[in-house]
Amino acid sequence: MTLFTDPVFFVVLIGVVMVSIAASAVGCLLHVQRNSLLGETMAHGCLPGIYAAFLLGGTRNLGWLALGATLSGLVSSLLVDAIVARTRIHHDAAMAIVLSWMFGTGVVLLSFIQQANLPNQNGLEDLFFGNAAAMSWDDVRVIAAVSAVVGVLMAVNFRRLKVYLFDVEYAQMQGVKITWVRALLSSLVAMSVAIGIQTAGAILMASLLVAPAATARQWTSRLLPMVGVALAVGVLGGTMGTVLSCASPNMPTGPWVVISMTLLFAMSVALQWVSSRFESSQEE
Amino acid sequence: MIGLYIIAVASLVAINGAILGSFMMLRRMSMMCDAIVHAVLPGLVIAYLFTATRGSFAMVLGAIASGVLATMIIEWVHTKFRVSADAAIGLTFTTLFSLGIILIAKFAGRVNLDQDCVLFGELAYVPLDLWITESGRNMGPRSLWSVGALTVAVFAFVRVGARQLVSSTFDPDFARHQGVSVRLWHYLLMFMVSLFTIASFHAVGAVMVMGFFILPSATAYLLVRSVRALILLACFVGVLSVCVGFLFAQWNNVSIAGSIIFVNGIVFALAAWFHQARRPTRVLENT
Amino acid sequence: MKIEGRCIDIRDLSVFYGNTKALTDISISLPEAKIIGIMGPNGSGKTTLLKCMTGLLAPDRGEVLLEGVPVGQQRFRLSYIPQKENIDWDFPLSVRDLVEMAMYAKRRWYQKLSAEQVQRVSSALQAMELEGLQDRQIGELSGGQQQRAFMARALASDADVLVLDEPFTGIDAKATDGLIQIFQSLRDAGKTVILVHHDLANAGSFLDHVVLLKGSLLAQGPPEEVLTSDLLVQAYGVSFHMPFGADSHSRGGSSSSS
Repeated sequence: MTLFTDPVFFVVLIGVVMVSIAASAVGCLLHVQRNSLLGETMAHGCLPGIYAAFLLGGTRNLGWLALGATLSGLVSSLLVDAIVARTRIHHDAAMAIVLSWMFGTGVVLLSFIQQANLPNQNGLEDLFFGNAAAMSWDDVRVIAAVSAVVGVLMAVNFRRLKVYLFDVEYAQMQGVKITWVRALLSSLVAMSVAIGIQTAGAILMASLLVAPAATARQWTSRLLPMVGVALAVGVLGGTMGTVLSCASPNMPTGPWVVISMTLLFAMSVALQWVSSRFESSQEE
Repeated sequence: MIGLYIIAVASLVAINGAILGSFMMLRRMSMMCDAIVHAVLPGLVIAYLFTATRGSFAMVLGAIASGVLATMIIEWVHTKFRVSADAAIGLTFTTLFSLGIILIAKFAGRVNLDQDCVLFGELAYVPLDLWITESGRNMGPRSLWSVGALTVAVFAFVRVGARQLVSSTFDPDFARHQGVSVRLWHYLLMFMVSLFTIASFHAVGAVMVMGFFILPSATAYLLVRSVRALILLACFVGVLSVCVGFLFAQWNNVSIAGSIIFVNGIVFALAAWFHQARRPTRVLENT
Repeated sequence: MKIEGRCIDIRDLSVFYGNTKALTDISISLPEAKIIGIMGPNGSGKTTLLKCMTGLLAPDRGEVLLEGVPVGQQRFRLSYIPQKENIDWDFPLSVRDLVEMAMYAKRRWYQKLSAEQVQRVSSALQAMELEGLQDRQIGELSGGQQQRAFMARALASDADVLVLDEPFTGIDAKATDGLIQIFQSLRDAGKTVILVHHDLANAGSFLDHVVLLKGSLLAQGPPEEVLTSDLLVQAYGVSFHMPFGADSHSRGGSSSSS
């Protein structure tokens, strides 16, 4: 297939798969807390950070923008927690507040950038839906670096995270520093979302943080196997999505990755159903 | 004059959003609003492809059907496949939205990354060329008429169903016990939310729709003690944010929609600070 | 064994949740004008039974009758008071608003509450000693007051049978006593009070009739007959010595010694 020898395709594939890996793993951490939609909130929350970074730095270097995105994402997470802690607003409403406000603020910044006619601003609006086709090897290097950081942080702190996720009070008794773990969690999500902005776009990052974890959950409730299955789903879905989007012209990558992930979820559910029918017929 | 049209349309959107958003927030379904806003896209596109006309009734119906269907799918995924509610929402709306984008890219020409569309984040809808999306310009009377009609529908809905909505929101078991069809009112609300989405973002963009569902209601929620006060104050906050936001946008030459949201967020922060300062204390049991 | 007068008849009631049997073949006759406790370990089907009794849940088999007529047709004669955790206490509702909800079903959307209904709401608030608090938001109340607010709603709807799900959760001893006194005055006025109860320590002191559940019916009758060591071991898996007799509450006019 000529596709696989095409260097553009390769760059996109590597980038997408790395993003999917990071998001799939981190998504599990969110899923077990029933907090999958934090990804959606953060994905919208990243935007003002990206535009602010652009305004401050004048560059569209992915690393720089990703830094802005991460910080902005962290701020989103902090805002949600602050609203829940200090007011009687509930968690879902807090997420909706932060999501829409940060998005609106981001749009204000973007419109400012556009009317100020600053140089280098072309393609900033790609961040809504992603434009993986514009990915370069430099971008991939940044994505790889951040994914590696996410992976290492998760691996090193895995036990701590696991205890915190399943029983906060027990974790506290065991000497786990709750605030630190919470900050770590938010950072992991923020970083994963930040690198995904270019590939899947802000609006669709939410899917990468939900679908692989939800699929994995169908098979296991233990965290480590769940992360393993999610990683597999992430890689497979990312590859499928990239192939499908490159197969036809002018297709944005993000939506195809989302569809692939959901297909994998559906297949997983179907497999479960078939195997449970098989088991019950075995018993007869 | 154009400015007045914009403010009028945006204010009506604000009022409708405040009303519907209040109920959604009380039902803890704020993120479902986000889901519906995204989920209407494929229905819109499919209706357009079938009828090959734009700005038509069929598209409105298609979008509404898509929105309501999305909520049904979410519920189905949640109950049948034992997926947690938040994950069910995340799975469903991203898939539906992606479906919509793919359909547009495939059938309605190239997705045009146009500057103005981006201001509303609704690149998706531009190739369909039906909505006037420029930030405030060209928002002619057509929008005013459609949002006006929406307002009548929302007012009627809430006026007739006020008690059922409040009781089914607060205590569905009690409401059911009293003979209220909780299920029916749930789907009616979902219908109205979808209708609001489709009638409003053509006028003001996707950004504002979500913002108007939550920001005015959440702001008012911090300061009121009754549902009636919640809705009235939310409407007031919404309209206030429209006016101040519009001025802000004019002065700084930035997105009107975004400015309205931005201002509303500041108002929310002020209300939160105020609410924190005068948190009422619990009554001590003395009998 | 059917007791004369108004009462609830439950016949062969079974409820399944998927493959799980929540209730199996429950047949009971509940006496009128008594305080009835539904007891049993977690997951024994107590809430399910309450929901069937109020017509909120349709059983998979069997039926519930109030004076011979299916409960579903007479829902206004019963009132269901849910567990406190299931309520959103931040909801912008005053105590009075809450009690007024009882009147909603009887008014059309364009009709305000009639003078008689307004009076009924006020009386219910008075009976529950909540008049001074009626404009407070429900979350501002203490646990005992919250429970009384829901009881005021039940009273305002003029139900003959009050069905409460764990009314004593999260309430201190003083408020518990207050609630028990309210139950007793309601009973003396002819109402039937049915509640899911957890506290074995005070169960014998105020309950007239006990139904012990564990998916199926273990026993029913006066507390001293039902809350015996053997039956308690069967139900809860642990033995417990019931402090009958040494109490300050009176049960239906009669007292007993252990």
